[in-house]
Amino acid sequence: MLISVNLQSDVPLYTQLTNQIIEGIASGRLAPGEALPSVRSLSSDLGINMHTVNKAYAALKQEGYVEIHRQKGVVVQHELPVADETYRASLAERLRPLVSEAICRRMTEAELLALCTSVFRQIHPDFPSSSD
Amino acid sequence: MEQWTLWLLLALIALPVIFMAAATPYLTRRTESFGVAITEEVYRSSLVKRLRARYAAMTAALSILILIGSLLAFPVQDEQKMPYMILTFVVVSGIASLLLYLYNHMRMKRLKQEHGWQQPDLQTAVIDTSFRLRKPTLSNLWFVPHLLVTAATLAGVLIFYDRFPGTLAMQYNLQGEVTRSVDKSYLALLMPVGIQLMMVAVFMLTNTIISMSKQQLDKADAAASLQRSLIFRRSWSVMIVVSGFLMTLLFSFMSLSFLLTLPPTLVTLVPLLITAVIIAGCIWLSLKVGQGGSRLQGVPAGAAATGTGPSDDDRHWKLGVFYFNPADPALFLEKRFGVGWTINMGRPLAWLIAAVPLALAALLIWLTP
Repeated sequence: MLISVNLQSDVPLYTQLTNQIIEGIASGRLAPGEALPSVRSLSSDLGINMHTVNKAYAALKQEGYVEIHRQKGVVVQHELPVADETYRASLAERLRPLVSEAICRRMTEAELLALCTSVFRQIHPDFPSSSD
Repeated sequence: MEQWTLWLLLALIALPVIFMAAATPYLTRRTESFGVAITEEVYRSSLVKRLRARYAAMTAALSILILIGSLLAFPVQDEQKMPYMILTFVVVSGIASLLLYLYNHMRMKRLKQEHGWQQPDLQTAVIDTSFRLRKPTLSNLWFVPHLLVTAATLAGVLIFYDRFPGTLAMQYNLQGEVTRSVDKSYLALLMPVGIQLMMVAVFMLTNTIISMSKQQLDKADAAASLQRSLIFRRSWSVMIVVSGFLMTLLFSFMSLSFLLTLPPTLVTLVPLLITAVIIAGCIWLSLKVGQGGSRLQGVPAGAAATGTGPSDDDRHWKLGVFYFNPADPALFLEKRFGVGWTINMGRPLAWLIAAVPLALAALLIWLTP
């Protein structure tokens, strides 16, 4: 999978990395068990600090998206985390400010849901209209 | 007088040097010109085209003049002076093309500023997560045949030690007379084996470096540039394995030539031919593939003339040729002006690895009887 980072963006580099890797897994472009580059090679190829990559991998491991093996390196988890009660609660928490912003800007519930659906379908592999 | 071998040797050295020096601006990525990052569109502009053509013509003309000058200073009839003649030519023409390069580099830098040829997107980096899984080089296991030939040579020398003559001919002149010989010793007989081992070590290291060096995908067309980069790396990996094998065979042949009394012409000609084949192969590959695969035909390029290169990082390229960026963890990356790879001078570890072949060469010279 191609990953691109913007070195001047306001979004921290490690967040850009974790976001893209999670989206890669969600869209099926990164398969379960697939190997990710080592910290050294990913940081060399992107020209960014090794700590940044380390931090991204550590966060992904923490959230259950990747495993870090001594030999095989970093691989995508076979058993991805499920949407349990705790996750749903935290998702709702993270959605609140986003929904609030949309309401402030006078978006209707239908518009917001339509946007959500469209993004979902862009990412989800079961919707062939999705593009990379 | 075997004058023709001498001219063959001269042609073997001079022609590739002149040709490659003149051709270099045509072999770089389309997103660089004389060590300055530009877009593909600018590369194809008539202004920059003229710059390349003039550089090629001037480099060729100057090198030929320097060759004639060296030949006049050290007449080819005087075989003893041949090495000096070649050294003079290589050094002086090297300096000349360096100065020409620097002139064009400065000129290009000025042009970039005047015309505002900054790259549109300076700060994005693109990589493929499975790049190293796509086998950018052959496995180092491909060097097993080289090691087998070396082991066989070692065994041959040890088993047939008594059958080798008391003095070993190390050098012939063009009349086929021995000009330098040494007394038989294990050190002298095992020297070719030692060279073989060091060569294989250096070739394996190079092969590893080709695989690990920075991806440098073109963000304007990542998919095509990925294909180009993979073909580029694989081609040079194959070249290293094959030429490494030829060189290994050459040193086994050298050992064999001590044992059997081979005709001097053969002993002189075989190394020349092998060298010629390797040099011709490297030139052919440089022309065919270009830096980073830039000259490959038939690789689908998304949109024409949109290439923006890996990044507009001119400030890290000192004089357009030395990459110095301590903030970049990459140890190795593609050269800007030329075909091949270079080190990140801002990384001490890169210096250390680059010193390995030099240290091996020094060790070899020190050991030579």
